[in-house]
Amino acid sequence: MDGDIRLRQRLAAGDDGALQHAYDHFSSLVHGLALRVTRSREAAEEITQDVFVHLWENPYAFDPGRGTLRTWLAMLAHRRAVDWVRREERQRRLLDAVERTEPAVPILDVIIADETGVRVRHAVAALPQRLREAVELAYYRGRTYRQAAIELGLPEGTVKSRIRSGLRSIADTLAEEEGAP
Amino acid sequence: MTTEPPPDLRARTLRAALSRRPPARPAPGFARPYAALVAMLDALLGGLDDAEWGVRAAGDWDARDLVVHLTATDGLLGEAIAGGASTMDDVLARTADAVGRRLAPADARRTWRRQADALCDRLAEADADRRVEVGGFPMRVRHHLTARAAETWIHADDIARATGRSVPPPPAEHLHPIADLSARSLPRALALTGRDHRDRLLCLILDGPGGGRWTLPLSRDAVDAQPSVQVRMDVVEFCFLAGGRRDPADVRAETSGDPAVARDVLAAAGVFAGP
Repeated sequence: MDGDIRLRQRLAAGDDGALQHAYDHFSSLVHGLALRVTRSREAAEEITQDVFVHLWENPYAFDPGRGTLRTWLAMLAHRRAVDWVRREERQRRLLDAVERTEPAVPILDVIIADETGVRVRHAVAALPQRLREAVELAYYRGRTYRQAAIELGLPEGTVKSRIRSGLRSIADTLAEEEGAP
Repeated sequence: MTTEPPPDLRARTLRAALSRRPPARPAPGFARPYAALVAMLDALLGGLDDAEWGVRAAGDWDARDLVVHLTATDGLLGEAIAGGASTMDDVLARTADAVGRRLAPADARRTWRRQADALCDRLAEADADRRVEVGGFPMRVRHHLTARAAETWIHADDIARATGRSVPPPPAEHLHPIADLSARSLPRALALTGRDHRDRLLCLILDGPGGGRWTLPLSRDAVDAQPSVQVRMDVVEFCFLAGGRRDPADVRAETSGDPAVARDVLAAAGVFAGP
């Protein structure tokens, strides 16, 4: 406990040696936990980095009066790993749905689920134009892939892949908003 | 499969962290408490939302005003090191002028931090023992830096309290010089309040990391062979008392010996606290 109090003082004082110390003591714990939950090396690395950046940037967020630094970092890693898994699942459901259905089915429901349509529309508006026009034709004007391909003068496969990229990007935008602290 | 993080993740993580929040500026030993407290306040300011910037934190001043005030006084110290001198009126006038300009909080913060880092950079070549005058107080450069560290901490604590946070006290090696400066200033503080006790010797004991024991003659004249009064208290509480953030009548302190002297010592401790 005393060690935690002193470490927090040094982090607050902008002593980067304290951050190195924290990393050397707790990165195995944080990384191992993130890896167990996400089963993705890439995600585990990203989460490990996020957790220690958060500790350094917000040295006051950890309160030694409420528990140890070890517990606090483990909790932070766990929460971020669970968020990552949820985001992944949601994206996978969305992509599965795209694969399975023709767009005439209001597939945006898959993304919208409990969202308000406003946020989705903002996310659509933020897409690069080539993705946006494909998504809009398919989901706001009810065109099939084939019709959309004819209107855009593109092969059907290209339109399909643009729609898929567009939807993935929308899902990311929504997930980021949700995950924002 | 191994669950250990890959070795290069350490360097990537440290790089990402330091790019988001710079560490304390490197500085000569006497300025390290200042550089550290600047880093501490900066991290606190980084977490404030718009509404929190506008909460009154000390008197009528909100966080932005306090940062502007620190910028004004730090700036006068920088000028003093370069050969100028200033009075308390200069401190107040410059603060009032900057407050009046209604800088955006983010700009106030950036200006303050940039100037503080520049001050640290210049200190490597400064003569730490030269006496210069800032806000009407002539002191050695090294002691001015300690006083700036103390004021930065006190205002960080003001802002933290006003916004429902808590900041830790500085690490012992930074707290000690702050306590030491206030302890050694006690005889002058007593003289300033007109209550110097000739011939008396004070034993001041400050408990906790960064504390210590001081034996202080309460005037320049001949003194007792043995301390006739003892004051014992927590080192952090003493620093807040000296910073004008504790009521001398209520502060937790154990005193023994001449009660009138002990009372006067506690009452005088905060006399150098600025606005």
